[in-house]
Amino acid sequence: VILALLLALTGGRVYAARFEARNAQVAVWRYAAAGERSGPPVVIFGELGFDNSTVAPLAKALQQRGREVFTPDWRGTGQSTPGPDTEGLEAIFLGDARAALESALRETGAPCAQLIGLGLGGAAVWMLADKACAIVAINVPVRWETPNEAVKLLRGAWPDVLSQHFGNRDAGELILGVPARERHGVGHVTPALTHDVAEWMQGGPLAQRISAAVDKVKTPLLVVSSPRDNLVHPEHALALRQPHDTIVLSRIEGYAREETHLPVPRALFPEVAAWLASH
Amino acid sequence: MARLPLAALLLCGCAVLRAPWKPPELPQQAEHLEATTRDGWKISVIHYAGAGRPVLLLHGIVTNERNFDLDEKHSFARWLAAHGRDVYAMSLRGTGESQRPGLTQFDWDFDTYVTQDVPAAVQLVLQRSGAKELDFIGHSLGGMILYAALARGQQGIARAVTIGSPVGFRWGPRFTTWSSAAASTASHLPFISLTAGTLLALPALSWYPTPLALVLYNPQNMDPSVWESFLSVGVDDESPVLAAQAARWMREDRFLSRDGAVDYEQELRFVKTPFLVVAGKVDQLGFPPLVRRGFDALGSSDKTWLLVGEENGASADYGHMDLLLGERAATDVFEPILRWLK
Repeated sequence: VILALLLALTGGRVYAARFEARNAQVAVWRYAAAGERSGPPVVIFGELGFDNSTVAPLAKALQQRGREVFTPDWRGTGQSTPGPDTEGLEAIFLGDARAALESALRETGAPCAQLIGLGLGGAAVWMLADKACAIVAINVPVRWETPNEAVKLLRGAWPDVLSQHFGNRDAGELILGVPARERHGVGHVTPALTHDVAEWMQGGPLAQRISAAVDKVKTPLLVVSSPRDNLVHPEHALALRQPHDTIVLSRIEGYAREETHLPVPRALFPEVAAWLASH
Repeated sequence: MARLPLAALLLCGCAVLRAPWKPPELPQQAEHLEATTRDGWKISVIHYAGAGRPVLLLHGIVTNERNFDLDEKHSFARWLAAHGRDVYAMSLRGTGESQRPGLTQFDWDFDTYVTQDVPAAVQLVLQRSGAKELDFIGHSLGGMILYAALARGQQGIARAVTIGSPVGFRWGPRFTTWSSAAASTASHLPFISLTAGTLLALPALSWYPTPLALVLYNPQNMDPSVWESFLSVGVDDESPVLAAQAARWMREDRFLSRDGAVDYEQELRFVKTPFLVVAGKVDQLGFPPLVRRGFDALGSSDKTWLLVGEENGASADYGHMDLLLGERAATDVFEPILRWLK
């Protein structure tokens, strides 16, 4: 009854808890399964700099299909507290993301979870693949091996401009160019995070660790890519060396348009749900 | 049932009415040459006189040399010649003005292009120009042929450029299934008659952006009238044997010779020729990740990747055919290629 009341009051979103993770209190949202629960829990990691709003519609769609879904607010966004300025990408992947995964496994008693990642934040799926029964990567970079002007600009802007001059400006403005009126759930980005992302794009040690983690993934993989994504190009997102299923969000694949980085089109939800159900 | 013949009649009538009475002509100064292959084909090569190291242009599947020279405003060949290069544009066997004495049998495969047509054209250009080496630019299948020729040890190529040429064959599941089924079906025909079919369907293909047209070009870059003009002169018939080979590529996602003995993607690691690999940001056929596979496989230490899209300074995101025939292709595509060749 309490669960039903909570569901009614929160529109189906149940606040689970905040967990201590590497010097921050990380909020993990639980979307309790509607009707009979099916399959292992699903943990969704959204875009960096945002709370879970970039993946909330997908979480709700899976919830309606009987899936138990967990998704964190990255530190400094939503209901999570900011971490120290010195904490960067590793704190997010191995702190916030791991906390969300562990809470999902603990709450459901499952040995593994199905992981979904979106954008740069979605790369957490590669780092936590040892606890995954299946992985869906939506516009998630595998390797930043393709030089292009946008990435060059970001590479230059992130360490020099973002860290030193703009400090903690909204991530939505600087990372994705999202217009102010569309910026929901944007939080703060620490100088350490901007430094780490720049290093990742430049192919530094962190990039090599992430690439090595990708190559070790043995679980079933579904990779989704948007042809007009100017941040994570299809050749960044589809540069996997192991077998995987692919969805390209283009007109010739039946989608309404050539999709961009955000948002995730609703037409994709049933396909992701069906793929997860079959793995 | 009476509607079907009526519709066909209307379609034929529209095709006749809409088909250009006079196709765009080649420039008067263009010289028509012929290269003879070892098996007797006469490969058509159009020469646009210029200076310096010659450039050989090779078109894609089911097209011909008009891919590079549609008319005065849409011509990579004339643009290169106007910028001082000595240009040659070839037509693969069975396309354009290339011909064989006697009845044409559509019995060739991809490897025939690689081992017969390309060596003959390269030899002709080198003999004609007196140069020791040439620059080679291939679009779509032409670029795949260039990869395969170099993988098989083709000599005489100084610098190489591929434009929208995939080396992998996994698009999204729907397009892969559809194109694989189409290639398999076509492989059972005596020959693939696209010339007549294109003319018949010209009104439907050119009056509005049909799904097929959207696969082939980005309408933001190319006027439908240019597309219509290209369809009337730039489309040719194709061999069903090649279709069978392409169907296998898509089934197995491997770039193989017809007998399966050579994996061209694997062999690219031995290619040391300087390379520029060009991809269109929204190219559905030369899908950037699949084009990128060729770039990654190359063993060249001097190789450059160019993704033509807005974020890289181009005026728009480019599709497959507009990389050559787009209204602003000269600025967005030709100039970067010429800069790299220099």
